[in-house]
Amino acid sequence: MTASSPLTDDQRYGAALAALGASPGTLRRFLDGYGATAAWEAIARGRHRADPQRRYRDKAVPETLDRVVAMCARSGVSVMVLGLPGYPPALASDRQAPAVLFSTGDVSVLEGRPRVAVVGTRSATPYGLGMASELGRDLARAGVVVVSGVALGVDSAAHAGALGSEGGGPTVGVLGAPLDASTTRAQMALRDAIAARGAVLSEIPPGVHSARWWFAVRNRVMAALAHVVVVVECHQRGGSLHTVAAALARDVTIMAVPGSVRSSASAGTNRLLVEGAAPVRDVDDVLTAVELAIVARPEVSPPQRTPGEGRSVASDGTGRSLGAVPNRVRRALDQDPATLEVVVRRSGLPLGDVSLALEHLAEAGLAVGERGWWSRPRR
Amino acid sequence: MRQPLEEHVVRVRRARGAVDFPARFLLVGAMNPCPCGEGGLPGACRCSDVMRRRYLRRLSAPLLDRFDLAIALGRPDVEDLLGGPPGDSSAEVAARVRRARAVAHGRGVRCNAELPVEGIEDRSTLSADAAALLERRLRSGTLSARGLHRVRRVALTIADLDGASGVDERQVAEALQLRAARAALVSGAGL
Repeated sequence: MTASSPLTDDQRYGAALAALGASPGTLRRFLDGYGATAAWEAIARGRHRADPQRRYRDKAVPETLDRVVAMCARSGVSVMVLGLPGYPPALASDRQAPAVLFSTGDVSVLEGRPRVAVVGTRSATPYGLGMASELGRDLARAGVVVVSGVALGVDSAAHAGALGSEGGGPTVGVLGAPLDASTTRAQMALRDAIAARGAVLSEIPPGVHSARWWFAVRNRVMAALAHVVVVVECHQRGGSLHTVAAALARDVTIMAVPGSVRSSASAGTNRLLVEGAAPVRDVDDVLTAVELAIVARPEVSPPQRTPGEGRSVASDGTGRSLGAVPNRVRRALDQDPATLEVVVRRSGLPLGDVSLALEHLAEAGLAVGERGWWSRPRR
Repeated sequence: MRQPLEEHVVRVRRARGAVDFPARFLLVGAMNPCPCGEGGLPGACRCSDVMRRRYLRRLSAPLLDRFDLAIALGRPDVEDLLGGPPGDSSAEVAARVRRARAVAHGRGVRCNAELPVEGIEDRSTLSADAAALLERRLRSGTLSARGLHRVRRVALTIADLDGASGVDERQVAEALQLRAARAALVSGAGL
């Protein structure tokens, strides 16, 4: 985590206002026309016009201020107040931009680059995780900022893909929980890794208990930041649809990765496609949408396409000379994993021949075996 | 469960004495890959990673470690359920097993699983490409030292079932495949 410089008065009072527990809309009305310091004093004296019933007066005490300032310092969290320098311009113009934003890492990575939100379900299938990590990696390689929610499943795979790409772009996480919220060790490590290469944002002050509804509310931040929203996998009534609704309201391009019609993890995404979302087969489809979305925005540099990657590669690398047996086994493989038994049956060859061919194909990178399930590599 | 598995006896000790009950058996087990049972089939499972790991932890690693073979199974095809092409008859399979067991008896054991480590070296000659395949797997870290001996015993049995005199590359590859699903059970243990 990066060390934050000492907070200004407006930042300290901004953080304290956020700690009052008001909704994002009320928080904006608190600051509107007042500024953070004056707003705090008005609420404490019970004279703020956005708090006519003085519901927040008793919470606006010095202890609240001291506690949130101490928590920010302890977790190395920076505070940004809407309308003041330091607040990300990429978000400031949004109608529902958070009045106060907390961050670790470097929020300036949001500027000057195209931004794509890659979101989806927590209970993703291997297909969804693979697509998310592949898109994360390839978007980062193209200089696109990958924005996601640091949740399990698709979100984590997208972040990890972006972090794993060599020379890739930064990635930004938007939490629906405070930045110091404890989760699994792996998730915390991912959060730190994102902060080291980009930034992690939250509108909930550190040290505050988060509520479930925050997860839906933060989705508007991802939609507001993104030039394009990509849904990788999503159940019929999945939470990603909140992000889609927020993107629709902002006229942000919505794309979805098609899935099997028998897969419940693709029910939501397939429905989005029926309703007119653009399909994503690979990173090239997303980059095309990004280019269209930023065409009138000279401040955003266009993505870098790597020649020779993408569409053309989909015609899988034939031309290698394999023996007749490995070739037959390779043709028996599909992108969907199959058990050894199925591969044996499809190829019509004896078990020993199939086993040996799979060993050779795996060594040559032409087959992927995982826990007894075999498939074709995606690239 | 571990004593009968390892020593093939059930030992009951009381104040007045101890009794050993012989307990030789072949243990065959089946389990779902995850709580919902759809974990193998892509796209059908709704279990989270955490749920899946917790589910697999319900069987102890030392117990799982004693299974020599582990394979992934998909759903049976509809055609198979309604009577697909018949496989080998039980009589044919029994004859094949009897032949292989007879070969194992010649090595002084009931079955190859009982071959001591030094016995494997002497009794199963690996072809050059079979040895090379095992070496590649060992070097890449996808096969452990203990796994190596187990794979060699299984490969020897496959050779015996085939009626072959030595162990070749295909039999080693088949043995590796018949243990491939173990990684899913004993996470991080490789083969």
